[in-house]
Amino acid sequence: MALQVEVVSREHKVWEGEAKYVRARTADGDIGVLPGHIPTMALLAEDGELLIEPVSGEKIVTRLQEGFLTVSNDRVTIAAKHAQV
Amino acid sequence: MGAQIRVYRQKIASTSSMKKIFKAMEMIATSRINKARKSADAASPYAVALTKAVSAIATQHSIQHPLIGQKDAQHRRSAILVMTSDRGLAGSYSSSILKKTEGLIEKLKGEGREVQLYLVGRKAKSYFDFRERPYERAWEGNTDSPNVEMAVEMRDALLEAFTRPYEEGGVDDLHVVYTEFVSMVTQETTILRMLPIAVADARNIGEEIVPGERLEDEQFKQNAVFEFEPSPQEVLDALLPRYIASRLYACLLEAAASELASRQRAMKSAGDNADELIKKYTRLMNNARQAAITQELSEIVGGADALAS
Repeated sequence: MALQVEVVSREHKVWEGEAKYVRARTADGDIGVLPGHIPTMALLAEDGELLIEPVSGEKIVTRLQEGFLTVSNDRVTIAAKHAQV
Repeated sequence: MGAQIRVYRQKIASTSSMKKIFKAMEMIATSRINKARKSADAASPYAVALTKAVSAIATQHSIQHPLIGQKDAQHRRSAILVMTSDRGLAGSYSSSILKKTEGLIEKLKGEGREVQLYLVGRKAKSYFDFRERPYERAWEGNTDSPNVEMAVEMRDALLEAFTRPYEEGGVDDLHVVYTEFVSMVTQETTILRMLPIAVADARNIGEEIVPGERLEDEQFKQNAVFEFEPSPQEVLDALLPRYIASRLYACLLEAAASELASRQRAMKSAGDNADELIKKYTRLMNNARQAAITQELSEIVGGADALAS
């Protein structure tokens, strides 16, 4: 089962799709999300890297400002001040 | 007689050039409403994500935060954020907001509170400037195409006032007066108490931000227990200001869509009235021309008669 990933900025939705793996930088360190992850809400680092491994296609690597990550039921939502994919 | 025809002709010419302006403004407003509504839709995933997080924390933990208030808290001074437009020609848009604001000021003062005003839009500013009434701060420009930076600036100013103690001029609560965009034909002036955030509301806030879109509550109940990184309190501390900014942004976008819809309607009726005036003047001009011809005819007939006799 794949993760349903959604990346949104304050103004609009940036990316949406299925992924095998998501990695983001929190204040304490990296957090990696695989399918079946427990429900989590995490604050991301002020300016951190986000990596998404989509089910098909190239890896996506981007930077986020003031990001926030929610995982529940294999749905991953990343809300950030600025985000670009 | 000829002079009268000329006068009517001039009036028709000026009315039809005004009609063109009204038509153009109407079309501009129509296209911008769609833009404003699209930005509102585009911003809603972010608002939903924040709202879910805030309500999850609120339901799982007994939280304490300065922005979340108790019902019995003392309210001695209130802030009102008034959202009007920069430009006129939008029917009663700004004046009905100001009327609503006056009503709210009256009510709050009746309860023995002081009122601090924060104004958005040139119309509100000139209203209070003209009456020489004090306000705390005013923002002008871009009321018809608001951006996130405006909302963030307002949030910073308002949260600063909210967190300042009463003795130093701080406020105990914040009301927002704005126009809710119900549909293209209905916009309602609304008073929203934004601060302090009521805990009981936390579960329902999503509906307020994104009308009609329910947060998938079922899914939420199943996973009632969230892990928080680094801790619930810290997550809440970071998210609440963002949440306020996102709500202010939503209000600004609604107000912008309402302003444009009011302008479109005002310009439509102005155009219709111009049409009617043109019709009326054309009739009058025809009348005057007919009268001139009749007079000339009777003069000729009269002259011929006089010569013949």
